[in-house]
Amino acid sequence: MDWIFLLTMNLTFKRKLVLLYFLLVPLSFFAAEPFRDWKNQNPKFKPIEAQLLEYSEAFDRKKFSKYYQDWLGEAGIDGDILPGVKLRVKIPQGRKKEPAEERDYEVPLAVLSESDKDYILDWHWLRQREDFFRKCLKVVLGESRDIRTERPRLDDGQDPPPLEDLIYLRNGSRKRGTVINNNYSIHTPYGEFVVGKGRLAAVQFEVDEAGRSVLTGVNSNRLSGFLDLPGEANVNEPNFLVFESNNGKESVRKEEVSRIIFQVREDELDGLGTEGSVSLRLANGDYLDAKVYEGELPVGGRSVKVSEVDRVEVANGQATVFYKDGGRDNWTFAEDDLPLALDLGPAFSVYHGHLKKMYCDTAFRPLGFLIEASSERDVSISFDRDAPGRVRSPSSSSTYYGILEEGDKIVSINREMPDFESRDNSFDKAVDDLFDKKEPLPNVEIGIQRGENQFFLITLVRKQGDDV
Amino acid sequence: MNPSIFKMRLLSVLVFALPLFSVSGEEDFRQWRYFNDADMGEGKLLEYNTAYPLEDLTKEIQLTEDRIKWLQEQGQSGDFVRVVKLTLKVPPKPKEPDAKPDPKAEPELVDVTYPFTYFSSADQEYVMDWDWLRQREPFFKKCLHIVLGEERGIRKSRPEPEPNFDVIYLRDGSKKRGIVQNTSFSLHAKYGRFAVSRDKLSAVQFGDGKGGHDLLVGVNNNRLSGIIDLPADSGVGVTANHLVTTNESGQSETIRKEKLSRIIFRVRPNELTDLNLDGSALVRLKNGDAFDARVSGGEFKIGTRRIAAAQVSSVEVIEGRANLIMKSGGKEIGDFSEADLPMELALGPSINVYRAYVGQIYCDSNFRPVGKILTASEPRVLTLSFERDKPGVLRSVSRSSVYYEVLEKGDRIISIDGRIPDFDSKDTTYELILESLFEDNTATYFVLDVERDGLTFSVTVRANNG
Repeated sequence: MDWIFLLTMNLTFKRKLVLLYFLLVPLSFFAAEPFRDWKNQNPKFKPIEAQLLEYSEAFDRKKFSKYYQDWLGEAGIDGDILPGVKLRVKIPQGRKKEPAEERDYEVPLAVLSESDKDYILDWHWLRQREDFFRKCLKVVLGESRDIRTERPRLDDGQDPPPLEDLIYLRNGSRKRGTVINNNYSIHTPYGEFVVGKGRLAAVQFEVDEAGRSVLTGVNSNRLSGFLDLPGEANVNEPNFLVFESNNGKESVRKEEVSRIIFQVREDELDGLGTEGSVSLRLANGDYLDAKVYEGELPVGGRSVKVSEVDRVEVANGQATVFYKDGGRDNWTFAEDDLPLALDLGPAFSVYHGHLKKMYCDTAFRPLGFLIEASSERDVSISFDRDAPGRVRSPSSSSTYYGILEEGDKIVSINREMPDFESRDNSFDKAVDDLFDKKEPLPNVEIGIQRGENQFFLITLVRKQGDDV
Repeated sequence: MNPSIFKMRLLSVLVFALPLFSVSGEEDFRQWRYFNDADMGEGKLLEYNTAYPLEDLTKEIQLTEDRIKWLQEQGQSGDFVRVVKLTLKVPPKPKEPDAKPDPKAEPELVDVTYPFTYFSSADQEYVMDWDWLRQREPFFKKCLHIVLGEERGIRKSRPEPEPNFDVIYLRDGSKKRGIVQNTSFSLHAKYGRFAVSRDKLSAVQFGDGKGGHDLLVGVNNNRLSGIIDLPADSGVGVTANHLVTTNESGQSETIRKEKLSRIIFRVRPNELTDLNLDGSALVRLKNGDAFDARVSGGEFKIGTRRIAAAQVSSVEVIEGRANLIMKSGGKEIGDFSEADLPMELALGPSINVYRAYVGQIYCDSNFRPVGKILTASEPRVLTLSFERDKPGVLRSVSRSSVYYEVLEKGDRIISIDGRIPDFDSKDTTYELILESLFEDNTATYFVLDVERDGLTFSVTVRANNG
């Protein structure tokens, strides 16, 4: 029995391997596939050693070799466009010690064994989603969102289990299910709007004594204010959260809910962060991505294209505009209100007094507190030895002084669950990567939990001009 | 509130806000003069009546036709006249008709009723002031003189013009005077959304800009927090999220909501008249908000029982359960049978308060605490030491004090029972209030308003006399 046999017989193990490969090394996704044995659907054929180069659902039948065209005909497979793969096949030479010749072949998918077909489709499914996996918010409020990491397919004749939302109640209990409420209405100091469930990663209900709630968008946007659950026909009464669980449909008063962690949905990032979207940081601590009306900022009696601007800093009604070309202007806003359309959906006008900063460069979207550091030492944190990820009191000379407090817990790093058990903990590794001399990370996002209910983010960036 | 504490509190009004008159007590004897400056003698004002029957007056004093004609010339025509009733000190009549009056003899006290126009203009003013204050005495006692550490514009004596202006503070530190035109202020509180009429508000505090800490303060000192919106009001030319004021020169000014820091409304003479206080209870929520409200239907629904609010002294919600202290002395414990408690606010709107938000409900109108409630069994634990050069500013708070961890060094007491305190006199207002709490037993509690770092909060101190 060789390892190929194991691989083909034990799908779960194989799929785990594929998943592990893609998720642990997400940025090496497009690295070359390893050579492996491929089996023909006809078990009489010997396996071939080959490397997967490409899969397409739409191969031109004519591009297959005459052998495969004949085979397709004999197999009764019609159609000019067929799924197929491109394989780089090792062709052994006469003597075993001679290096094998490598040649590329286009092979109809149907020719391959069922297990190899699954392998290819899994690979393709993950490759398609690599960008999404990289961008999507996998951890929110210190909690992993339920995410589909495998191609959905029947397993032992069963549909894959559905993804679930997590609902925490104030009495300490936790429920799993699918939240039915579609709309979440939030009244913030800068406006009032409704955000659809499909654009939300989490909801925190009444996080402080004032009764403010926090919506976290799938793009990490933060909107805080008074939350209402509007009544929806055939869904819910006003101020009731309705979800479907194994126990059937359950309905809970808004006031009894502590937080919701939504599952990751395949299409949740569609249309977000597109050209012209800016990142706004508001005076109340919220941050959100939005499109400025017609992509132009009305300042100082004229309009400036957002695409020309790096960032805008606002103080006392005065806007300091920093251009991408290095120029700088001090202007007043032409109008009190700046019309915007939130990436998360609703359109509204924000009074300029609520604005603090606007980042127009789509490559730079700092979340929460922004810390600029010149060296790894600047951003080092000392942790409690006995409590992984638990911060010890920062000294008054620390960059984190006034931001972090003793007992705060790091609950996410770069949108992933942190590992503080290993020798090279996630935090140290992320900071290393930030200052890596070859391929430095543009920034490090740290999620912090304080007490039961308070969550906030810190973005670490290298100080401008301190290129490694 | 019992009459004695009422009197005590009135004293502070009279001493510190209205120094001219002692309205509630008996008037002192003073010198009175006729309209022609002739001496009327020493007298004590008893009554002022704007519609006294002429027929009755003619029976009490000699009114010749000439005098009636003169009264008519002074505008006192018809069957009713304005009169002043005095107790005059009159020298006793000599026993012998020809004998000279004895200047050392004890004067007799005689009640007389004279037409108002008989009096000198100075005495007429005195009578009018006295009457004006007497009319307004209950209002002065009840109305909120100080809000958010700031004295509200109030007309304190008759000849003064009405205070015409509200005070509007802006975030840039400037202050404007004007009449606010917006007729209502809308609040999104954690327990609901509603609007309160401007005429029922004493102040509006626009919070820190982060939302949720805006505050409406009612004329009855009710406190409602949340996010304030200024709704559009086309009738008075107000667009959404703008405050419109009319300034001293009659010009209209529009200010963005975001530029506002606070509004202190002037005291309006009729601001307490329409308060819906009958049968109301004081509802204190866990977020610190407090308001007078009538429990819908006048009863609490606890489990399957219905308990009349009139029988209840107070309700405290502990771990989600309602603990009812009955006026009879008994106690009832149970769950509110409805998730939302419907309430009609004295300030106007009706709301539904989710049961878990309720902290306490005081049905007894004699106890209306504001802010944190402290209980003290002796004055020693309430001793406060103040900075010598800064009246009302705390030096420190000892560990043995009930104020420990509530008040801090540097806190300033800005009002006691809604009045400006006197910390300059030998017997400070604070000492007097402690006396009334523990020695005279004329008070059962008092309320301090305290300023810290530009923000104000309240503390209610309740006597626990065993």
